[in-house]
Amino acid sequence: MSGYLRTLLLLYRRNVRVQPMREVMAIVGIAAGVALLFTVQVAHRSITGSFEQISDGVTGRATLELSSRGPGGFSETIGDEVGHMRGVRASAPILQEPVVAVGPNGRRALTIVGATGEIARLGGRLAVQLLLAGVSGHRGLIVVTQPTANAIGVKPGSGVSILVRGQRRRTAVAGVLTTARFGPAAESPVAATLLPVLQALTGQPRTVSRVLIEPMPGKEGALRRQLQARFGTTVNVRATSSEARLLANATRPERQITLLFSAISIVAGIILAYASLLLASDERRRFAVYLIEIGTPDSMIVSSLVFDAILLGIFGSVLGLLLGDAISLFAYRSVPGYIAAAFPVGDQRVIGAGAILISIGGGIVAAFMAAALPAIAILRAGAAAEPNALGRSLSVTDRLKLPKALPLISGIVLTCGSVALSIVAPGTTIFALLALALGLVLLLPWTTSLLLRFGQAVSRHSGDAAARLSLGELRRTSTRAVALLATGTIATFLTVTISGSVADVQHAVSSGATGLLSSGELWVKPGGPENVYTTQPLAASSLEHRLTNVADVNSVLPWQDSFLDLPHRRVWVLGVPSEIRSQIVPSQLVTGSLSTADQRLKEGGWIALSQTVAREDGVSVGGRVLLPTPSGSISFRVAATVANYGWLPGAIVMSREDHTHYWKETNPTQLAVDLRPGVSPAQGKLAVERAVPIGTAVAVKTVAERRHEVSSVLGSTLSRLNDTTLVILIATIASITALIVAAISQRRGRLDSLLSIGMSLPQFARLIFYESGSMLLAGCGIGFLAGVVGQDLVDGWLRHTTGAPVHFSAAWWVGFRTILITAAITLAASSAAVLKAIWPEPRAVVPGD
Amino acid sequence: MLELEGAYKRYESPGEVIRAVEDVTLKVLASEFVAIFGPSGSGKTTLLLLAGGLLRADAGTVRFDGADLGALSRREMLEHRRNKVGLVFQDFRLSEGLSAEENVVVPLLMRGMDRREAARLAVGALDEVGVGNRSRHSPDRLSGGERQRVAIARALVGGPKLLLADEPTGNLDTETGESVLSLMRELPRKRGAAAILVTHDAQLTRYADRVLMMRDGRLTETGTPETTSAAR
Repeated sequence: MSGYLRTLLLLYRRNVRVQPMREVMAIVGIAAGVALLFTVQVAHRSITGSFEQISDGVTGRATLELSSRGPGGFSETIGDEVGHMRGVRASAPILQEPVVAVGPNGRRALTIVGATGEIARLGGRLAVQLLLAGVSGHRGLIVVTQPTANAIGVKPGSGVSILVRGQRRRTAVAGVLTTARFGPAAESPVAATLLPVLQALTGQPRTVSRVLIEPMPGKEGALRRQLQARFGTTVNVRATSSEARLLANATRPERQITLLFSAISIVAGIILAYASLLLASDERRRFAVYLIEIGTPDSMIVSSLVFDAILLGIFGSVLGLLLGDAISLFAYRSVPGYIAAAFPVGDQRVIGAGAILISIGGGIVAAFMAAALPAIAILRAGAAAEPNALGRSLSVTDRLKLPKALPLISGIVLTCGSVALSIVAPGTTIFALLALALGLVLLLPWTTSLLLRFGQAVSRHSGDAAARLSLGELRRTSTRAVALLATGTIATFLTVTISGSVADVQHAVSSGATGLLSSGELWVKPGGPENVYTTQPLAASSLEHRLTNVADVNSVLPWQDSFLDLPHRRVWVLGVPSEIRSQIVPSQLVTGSLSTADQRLKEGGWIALSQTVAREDGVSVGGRVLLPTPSGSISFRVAATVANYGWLPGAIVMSREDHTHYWKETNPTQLAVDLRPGVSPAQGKLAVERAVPIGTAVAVKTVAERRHEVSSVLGSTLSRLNDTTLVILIATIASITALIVAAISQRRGRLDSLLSIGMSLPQFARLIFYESGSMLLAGCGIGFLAGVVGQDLVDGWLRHTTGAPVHFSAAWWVGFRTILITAAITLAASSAAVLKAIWPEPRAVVPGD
Repeated sequence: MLELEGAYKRYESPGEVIRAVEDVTLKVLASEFVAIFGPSGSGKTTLLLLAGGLLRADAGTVRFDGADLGALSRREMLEHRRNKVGLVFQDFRLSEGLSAEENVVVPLLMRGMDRREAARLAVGALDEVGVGNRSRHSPDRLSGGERQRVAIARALVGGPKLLLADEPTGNLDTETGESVLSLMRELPRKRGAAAILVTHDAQLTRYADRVLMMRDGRLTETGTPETTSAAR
């Protein structure tokens, strides 16, 4: 190790020994930001990563596919034809169906893949292994992964129920793929069987949903054009990666907002670290002067500051990665409910090298940003100490004299500008929020000074010695006051903004879906929360007829819903019975006339389209839009634009008749039951349940039950964002504790003298609580106001990007809760600090001991 | 008024026992100005803290106006310090965020005195020590001597019976130090209070009525400034 590096290490060790709390707190600040950044990246990579593991495991070397546009699939003869086309190296037809597997220990939603031996030619590891496990087993028909087997309690040879299309089918497990043999993909919710078996289970003989195609080298473009010309009218011809892009699109709003919050969290980390570095700046300035006086070259002083920042960044990043890894084990784990309903996504963690590198890079940049201003102050102090012996580096910092009003003016411009910008152009909200956070921080020194002046005016009329002293202490160490104010402000700002907007969007998503439910008193649908969007037809044609004949039932209305893949998004299509008076849920209408739109939808040939989709296609009410239905591309006119009915990527509303016609599907996906007057929902439910034939797998739910189910599933949408607030809270607790304890230990002598001159313990405790609590709680108040503004901005941005009818509802309770928590932490930390201040008196011994 | 009899105080740290005060017996009378003189580490400050009730003796007794300080409860000891003892430190220990007047007001407010009455007394005390015209200034805008005068005003404003000063002139130049010591001798005496000065500067002992020499925790010599070895 060189002597220079050894000296830098010596200086670093000295600084840590002198101010250990400063270093610990700064590291905690950086670590909190890094942990959030890392956790968020892992969470998103896990969703797309787990999906890619399943997708790649099935498709193997196939790069093209034909895929069905609806749940009805297409004839497997198309697969045979594709296999004989020029330019095709290998192809495999598969049928993919969402099912629920039920065993003795529970149930699990799975995507079951039915394939033939041809799939082995594509080399997809998952498909090959699943089929091999099935072939070698010979004891059953379905191959499941070990986690699925454990979850539902089955083993090779044991029976399992498969709930599919409203039917309960009994079969046996042929094999179980272990995690050791299959890797992390075994966590995926996927199962396999032979194609004819699945066709029989689903009641779709000679039907497939996808044909996977591996083109010959160099022939992909030509083959794609050939496939488009031959089959493109009724099926999707696309790359096998298309589904992953649709998933990415569906998760985009959540990813964007999570990344936004994690970016702000990094800012919070910088501020927490900055606050801790400020705490020790006086001592560091004195040390810099001392170093110059003993002849230390200024290059060594500058290097020492840079070295400190690098080590802070490294230690903060390493701790942040460890924390982030721990956090990602219990937080951010749940797959958002609306995603799980439409894509086979597993809950395994996927950690990429990119996430680690970005997090470490973010941590080091944050450390440099936090250390920059205190370092300049230290160098200036050094320059001022020895004006005649200035080296170049110190004199440069001495010339860096900025107008005192600059932070105030910049803060006002950033705060007001960010709000105005976000209102005028909601798409810029991400930058606006970052600017708002930065503006707030720049305004804090001025706000602190204002608060202290106000406090001084008030305290003149106070007879409480603790109140007067606490104000005096705050005025004496204004950097500490700023640090306390900043901590309270940032913690509350983030918590209110995040929790408030999450609650608003959850409410919007849930109310969109539950609004639909008022059109029936009872709902008959496939059981379980997995089918929240009810897009699989019920293979029970007689069910509707049977229920109509139940004495308590007034009417039974069949609904037909499905997912439809547009070029950039997977939309939810609702086929609404024309008997329902209001075809569009009033709360979801965005543009157009409700009564006209209802009438037009009933006429047929008209649709209501999500505002986001309409904007993307450049179409408005009265315009035309081309939809790729299973019957071909059909031109519909737009009767109205609507919100997204709880499916964030977008929704399309049309009459059930149109859906039946163009989707070539007669079976409903759910039935809305209207009861005769005087029949209670409970009575009606019992009567309808008795009429449901044995062997069907449908559930009868009252409106209240269905609303609860929808709310609980869709309520998980964006709920992972609340995990961010937990991390912020932990970092805040650490920061407040460190700030208070460090503040006590730094002026131990003066505080001891207060006890000496007769200050009682309660007075002393009040002094500590007042001086910390007043600034922290004032910060909470400022943070709450800014947080409510931030919440409104994020709500506007969510309305803009998702089309969800997100309505602002100020997060009073969240703000109040944060203030209560902060007060409690301050009280606890103050008590700990008081104990620390009064207890460690040297222990005396009696002579002769 | 103040009596120490066979007082002991030791500090224990890992591998080390420091005998700070060893078998000290002394009496201080009302209006008396006593200087405790000795080298660094001789136990002067510990003896001062025992006298003021800021530390309890490990053995022996410390009596003030006949009351055994060792027998007082924590609350009684606090009341004793508040009402009967005034402290002056070498580094002033003033709050720089408060004005000179507010620094003097604070100990009175600690006792629960009405703020107007406290302010009136504080202004009077500052006038008495000669810094009445600086009462609105923050300590960081006062000279060292002015700060120590404010500290003396703070120590005396509550009417203590005992003023304790630990190296009060350590941060002052000679001339200022002497004027501060004059105040410390005169003002308590006018109130009938005793004062104890701790110093390692022999020159300062000449202000005292009596000088106690201390070494290794023990009182080695007692006398007037002229008769003790400190004068030599």
